[in-house]
Amino acid sequence: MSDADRMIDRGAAARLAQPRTNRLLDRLHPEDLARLKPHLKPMEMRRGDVLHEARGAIGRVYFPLGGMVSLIAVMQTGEMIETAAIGRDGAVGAAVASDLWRSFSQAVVQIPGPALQIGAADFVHACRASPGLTALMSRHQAVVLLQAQQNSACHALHSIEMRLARWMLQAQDMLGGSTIELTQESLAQMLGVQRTSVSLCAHALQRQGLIDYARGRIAILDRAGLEHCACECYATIRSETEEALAPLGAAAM
Amino acid sequence: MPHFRFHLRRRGELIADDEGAELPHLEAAYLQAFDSAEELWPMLLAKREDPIAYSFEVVDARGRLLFVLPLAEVLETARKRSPRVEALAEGAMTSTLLARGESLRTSLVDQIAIARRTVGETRALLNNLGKREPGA
Repeated sequence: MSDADRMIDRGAAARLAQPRTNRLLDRLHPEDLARLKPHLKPMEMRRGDVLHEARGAIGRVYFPLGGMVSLIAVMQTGEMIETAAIGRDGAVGAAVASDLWRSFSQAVVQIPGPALQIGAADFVHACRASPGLTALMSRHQAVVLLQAQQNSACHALHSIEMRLARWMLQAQDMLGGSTIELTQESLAQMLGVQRTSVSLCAHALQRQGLIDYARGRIAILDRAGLEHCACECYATIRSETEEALAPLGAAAM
Repeated sequence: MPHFRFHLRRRGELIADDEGAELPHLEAAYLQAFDSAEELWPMLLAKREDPIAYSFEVVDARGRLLFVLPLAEVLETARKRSPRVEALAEGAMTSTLLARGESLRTSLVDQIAIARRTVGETRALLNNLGKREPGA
């Protein structure tokens, strides 16, 4: 058994051990959760599912319990780039809480996983009855905006290799475990680069012993080393996300 | 759609493309290699590596080499092409087209041979059936 295989095994074990919960829902006051609960329906998000179209209506709000959803800006030429990624620490379509009923970007499932869905009208109804719920969703929207802002700076200023390292770290935080199943093609679309650039950068990271990437499976072998290669955007987004998920009112104290 | 792999060669070293891509035809593969080469230039320069040392080796699903695109070729678009380069580029396109025609012809010949074999086997089976059941 190779080191990479052992890492993959440990990754599978960690994935199984990871709780199937959504960290936003976990943060809710029991009363607020009780408001949402009757309307939350379990579902499976499949790879490639489009949850919201760009400039399309938001009919449902999704709380991922695993997997990863990309918010993508699609150009008229068909070129695309990820503006934010949402996993079990967020919600897709929560902008309706701020009375924004259209999605700016396309929300696509990049990595499959379970989720809870709720009709947008039911969700907004619950938000209107609870300032706490509305405040938490506003905080989450601020994190999505922060990601988009950070990404626009990152795309302009940082190398593809740094961005690739950052993306892998973020994905690992979101998914748990040490392996990520994703093709170079999808990674290239998210980073807005050619697939061959992903291939070359992944090769460089692999040669340093930081990752193993074969047949659409990324195994992270040396996390500390990968963090060293990633741009500052990783730490910025991580700390801001954690702050937004801190108990309500904590930031003011 | 045919499958293409874009291996990247740097002198003796080959960075293998183990995923590859489905593209409609050889011309699309050439354009993709070219776009990729353009993107690699600033990436390699930033790492103080010489892009001219690199080239793409594009192969088909069976691993047969279809064409080589040196990264240096990107520079040609920034220069006024000499008649010699123009002729070479045309020649390259003609030879890739010829290679594509040849590979299509080969697979057609293969398909015909398979079809012939199947028809032959079916006939033999029918004959045997006739012999075993004379009353039928």
